[in-house]
Amino acid sequence: MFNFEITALGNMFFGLTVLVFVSLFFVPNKHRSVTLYSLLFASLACIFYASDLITLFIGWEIMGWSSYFLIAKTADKQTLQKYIVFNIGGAFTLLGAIILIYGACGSFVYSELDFSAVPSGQVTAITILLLLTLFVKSGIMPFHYWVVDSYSQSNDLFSAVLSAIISKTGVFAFILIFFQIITVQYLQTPILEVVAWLGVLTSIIATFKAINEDEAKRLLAYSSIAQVGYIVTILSIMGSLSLEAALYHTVIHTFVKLLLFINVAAIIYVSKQHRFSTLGGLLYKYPLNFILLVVGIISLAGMPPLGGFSSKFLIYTALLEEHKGLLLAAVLFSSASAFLYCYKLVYGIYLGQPTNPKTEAYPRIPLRFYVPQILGAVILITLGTIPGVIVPMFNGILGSVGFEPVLYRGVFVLGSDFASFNGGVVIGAFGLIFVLILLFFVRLKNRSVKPKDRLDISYCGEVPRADVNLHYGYGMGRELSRIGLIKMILSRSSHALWQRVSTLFGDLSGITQKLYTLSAQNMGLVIFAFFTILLYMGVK
Amino acid sequence: MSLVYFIAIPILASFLTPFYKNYLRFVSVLVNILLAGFAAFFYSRLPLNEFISLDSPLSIIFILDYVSFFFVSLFIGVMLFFSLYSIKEKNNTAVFVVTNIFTSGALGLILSADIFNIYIFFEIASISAYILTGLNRDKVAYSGAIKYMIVGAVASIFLLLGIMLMYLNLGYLTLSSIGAGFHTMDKGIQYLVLLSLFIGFGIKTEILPLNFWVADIYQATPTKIAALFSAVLSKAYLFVFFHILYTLKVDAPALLFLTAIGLLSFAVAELSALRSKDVKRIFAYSTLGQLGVLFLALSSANVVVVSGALFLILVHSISKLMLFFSLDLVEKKMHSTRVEAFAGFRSAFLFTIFAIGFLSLLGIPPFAGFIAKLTILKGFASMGAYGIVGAILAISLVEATYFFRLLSANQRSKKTAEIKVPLLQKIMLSLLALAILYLGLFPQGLLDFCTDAAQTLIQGVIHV
Amino acid sequence: MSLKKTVGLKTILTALLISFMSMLLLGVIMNAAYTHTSLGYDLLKINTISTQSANAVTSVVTYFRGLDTLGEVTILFLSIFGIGIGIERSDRMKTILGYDSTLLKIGTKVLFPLIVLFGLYIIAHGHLSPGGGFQGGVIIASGFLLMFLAYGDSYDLDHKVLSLFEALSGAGFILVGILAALAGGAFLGNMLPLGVLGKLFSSGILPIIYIFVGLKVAAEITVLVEYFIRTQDARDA
Repeated sequence: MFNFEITALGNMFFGLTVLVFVSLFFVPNKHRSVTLYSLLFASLACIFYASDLITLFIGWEIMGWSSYFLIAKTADKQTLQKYIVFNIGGAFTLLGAIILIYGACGSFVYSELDFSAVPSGQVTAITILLLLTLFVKSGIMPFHYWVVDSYSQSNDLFSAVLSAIISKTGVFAFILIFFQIITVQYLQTPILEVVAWLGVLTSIIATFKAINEDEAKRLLAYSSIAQVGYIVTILSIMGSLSLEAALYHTVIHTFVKLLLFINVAAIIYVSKQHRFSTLGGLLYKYPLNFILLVVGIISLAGMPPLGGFSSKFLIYTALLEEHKGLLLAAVLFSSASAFLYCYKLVYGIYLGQPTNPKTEAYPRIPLRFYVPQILGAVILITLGTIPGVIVPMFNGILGSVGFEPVLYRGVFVLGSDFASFNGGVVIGAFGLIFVLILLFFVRLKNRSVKPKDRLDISYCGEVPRADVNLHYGYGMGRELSRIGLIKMILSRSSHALWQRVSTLFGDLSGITQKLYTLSAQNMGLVIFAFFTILLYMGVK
Repeated sequence: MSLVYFIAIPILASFLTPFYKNYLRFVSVLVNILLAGFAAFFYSRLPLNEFISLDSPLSIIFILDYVSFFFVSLFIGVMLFFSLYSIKEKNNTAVFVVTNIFTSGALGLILSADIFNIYIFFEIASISAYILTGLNRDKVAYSGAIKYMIVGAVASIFLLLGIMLMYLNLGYLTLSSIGAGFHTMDKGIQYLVLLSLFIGFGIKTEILPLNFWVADIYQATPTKIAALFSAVLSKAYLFVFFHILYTLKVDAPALLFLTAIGLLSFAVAELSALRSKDVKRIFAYSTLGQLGVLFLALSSANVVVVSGALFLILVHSISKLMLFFSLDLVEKKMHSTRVEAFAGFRSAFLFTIFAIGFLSLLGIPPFAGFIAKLTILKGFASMGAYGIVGAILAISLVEATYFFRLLSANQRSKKTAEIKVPLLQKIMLSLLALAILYLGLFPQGLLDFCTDAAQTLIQGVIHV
Repeated sequence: MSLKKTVGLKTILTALLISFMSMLLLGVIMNAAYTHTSLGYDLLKINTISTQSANAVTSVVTYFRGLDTLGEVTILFLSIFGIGIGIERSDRMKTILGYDSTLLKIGTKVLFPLIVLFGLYIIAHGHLSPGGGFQGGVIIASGFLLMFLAYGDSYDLDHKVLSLFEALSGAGFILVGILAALAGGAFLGNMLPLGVLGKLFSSGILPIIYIFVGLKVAAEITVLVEYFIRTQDARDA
């Protein structure tokens, strides 16, 4: 039944899980359910350390339903329905794939699975089923419908878990199954090609949805979809360097999302506001939170000098090395667009004029909110400075799944023969420039005029009413929808489709339910008619 | 020791009711403990045949092999649980009079290897079920009971027709002899016999075009009794049907037809439950769905699949027992089984019980239902029937939707009443939940037994 | 009333369905090739050896298929119990109107013991002549019916005794079976000497079983008669 094996890959993911759970333990939370969180934790351990497919599946399902109960307290009916249909559906496709693998190879244990004698059609079927499962968990298009609602409606702490860890189980399973179990020589190249493009498309669409989003947690949810999209794209290249890039990005994204979700959670906790249009101007109120947020979004956008750059650098290098020019262009496009929503987090919450008159009365952020954030920030800064430090760990994983290790040239240098950079130098240069600009602004600060209250903008020649939203970022990004392609992306919504499917099943259910209210007389008629039909068929 | 005690003792207990009218509930518990003792006694002597009356050609044979032992112990367990659970109900002598006879009817169906004897027990079990349906003694209950009786009578007619035709042509009533001689009969008669048996048992095992009466009956029946119908009665008919079928060595197309019917019945039942507004009806539909799965699994003639089906029978019985009994507690407090009433109760204990029951029914790990489903799917995979695997999984998704909808309805809505579960009930329901968890984590022992049982079932009754 | 209203479409379709079904059924049954079994002769041969009963039907009912008979008695008990549950609530304690005829009352007084005696006779000679427990039991119950009709409410049937009879006769049947199993090896098997064919005390266990069956049937049918005669409909008719 339960078979476990300690592997380098499992260690990495489990390590991330432990860090996230431990740091989240400090965060105050209304809906704390120790049982469910422990179940979730156990199920994650079960997934990461499983040594056969059944154990993996058991973990997968327990993760699914324990998350469900954690979300169910705060989410609405439709969100929950989506969650169940997609996640249980995803789990059932996993079970279907496992059963297919069993039918083909006669075993569930990883090490006993041999696909050399399996017809390629069957391998393709297995691949597609598995991909469905992973796409659902990671929210790859077109299976991302459930993600945003569930992330944004679950309680703030659990959103972080969903984004930081649970979306990564899809990545884990991808690596485990396609790198280690089925292995690349039995996979169909066209499928991988499709996967790569699905990943990129997902990230582009999610990026634009995020730009247009007014709710902080929904923005982060879309961003999460986009980032996991990159990971899936780079994984589908199936090379040594690309695997390293994917692992690197996984680590970075875990901590970025942990940091950002808790950062936003802290703001929501003190202000009770979820939307950018009701936030703003909190910079001087919560400066520490602001600095941590900046660390997070610099990493999220993949800008130097922080950890996000290291992983993005590897992604670009891997794509270039494999001559995937178009893919690279798409990734760059999406990555560049990501600046827009990243910046929204900064100005929407911290800069500009405060929209809410009660801003002054907001309480202090409890210190416990800083524990996961500081953990994330420290790791991100470290990985920016000494990006090579976790390469040996990744090499261990690469070795365990049978790939050649990538070049390791000390803690400061990251990259391959093709291209590399020195994190120490980069951060040093950036640090220098940063300090210079900071000094400049510090000098400038004494000369600036301090407004009396939020409506005091008389020097602009205007006296606004109290209900006017004065935030300069208000409505920013709206003009994006004038661009045809982006407008199309933004106007698409899964809502109508979902509604239609739901109604269809409801109607069908109504019809069949009617059958079950037949009177005894009609029931008798049905029985005799059925008998007569079968008899007639048999006699003929 | 004789196998006939399994039948005689519960009937004796009911016949003698006037002597201990108010204490029948204790007697019932004792009877069930006694039967459990018998079962334990026979366990080491498996498999065994017993001639109840010696002289051929009309001799009656009882068989206790691995598969019938599986059912016998399951039913005794369920009935013991039921009688212990209701031990505090003083004014309910009538229930125990009937449930005792119900027990012996169900056990007789399993044990008997004589086709007319089976008919007698079929009637005993059916008539006790009609009476149990009417026990609420109101309009709904009576009309339900009458409906049940009419449909049941039709089933009996078809069954009797099949039995009559076999007896007329072969001159034997013993299953083993019939199995040996069945294929010497005229082809048309063979078909007619199989068809009548299918219709007769199909009505009772609640299979698709023949099951449109079921939901109403479950709704009319007292909730706790509905658990017995779901856990014992339908399973007994199911077993007998396939016992006869495998003994008659039915050909592959017929089995394929049954598989298709089972799948269809699973799909339609789960679909109907999707928008149902009444929890009791939802449970009824879910029972129909599971019976569909069992039907399609049992008709596969594959040892692995059938052993999974047997495992599922056990798990489904435990889950339904747990769910209906918990629903009974909810119904007592809220005076309704509507979804709104279900959403309104507050009790962490009952919620957990419901959640475990639902997850197990859905075949979600780490609960026992998963092992059953996995074994069934594994078997189908080894047969190469991937279409069936896909269909089962797809339909299970529909099942998941409504079960989780029920749970979240309770989690999110405003609570109107707090339910305090009495200690006895709490202990017994927890025992069932633990059993489900235990079987989910350590299924191997039971699975091995189920494999032996499946082999015996597929082999059919062998001519001696 | 038009024909369309009296004979609906459903009725016509049903009639068509049933006739089509009967046609098919008859087609299958008539066209089949039957092999005749020698069951009847085998049975008679075995009957003289193993039961010494003059009535082969009785041997089948009480001996060869004794277990089925136990089942049938149980079904009878169940059915009447079920009817009791259905009737108990609504129409309990309705008075019975007797016919109030002196002639009938006196005549019944004479006839009642004779009817019961006749019933007992039929039961006791089940293994010798046509008849037996079921038939005799119904005859006894008919005596009680006559008493109800003649005396109405003034006929005071002792329910305690009746239910005692009901319980003991059923239990006796099973206990005899179990005793036989303990003594002879098979349930309801023969543990007594078979005696001589045609004598009252012969055929071993058979007459004992039939006596229990007869008493059980008599008690059950009497209960049933009382249930029905006390209902509203019966009084109005």
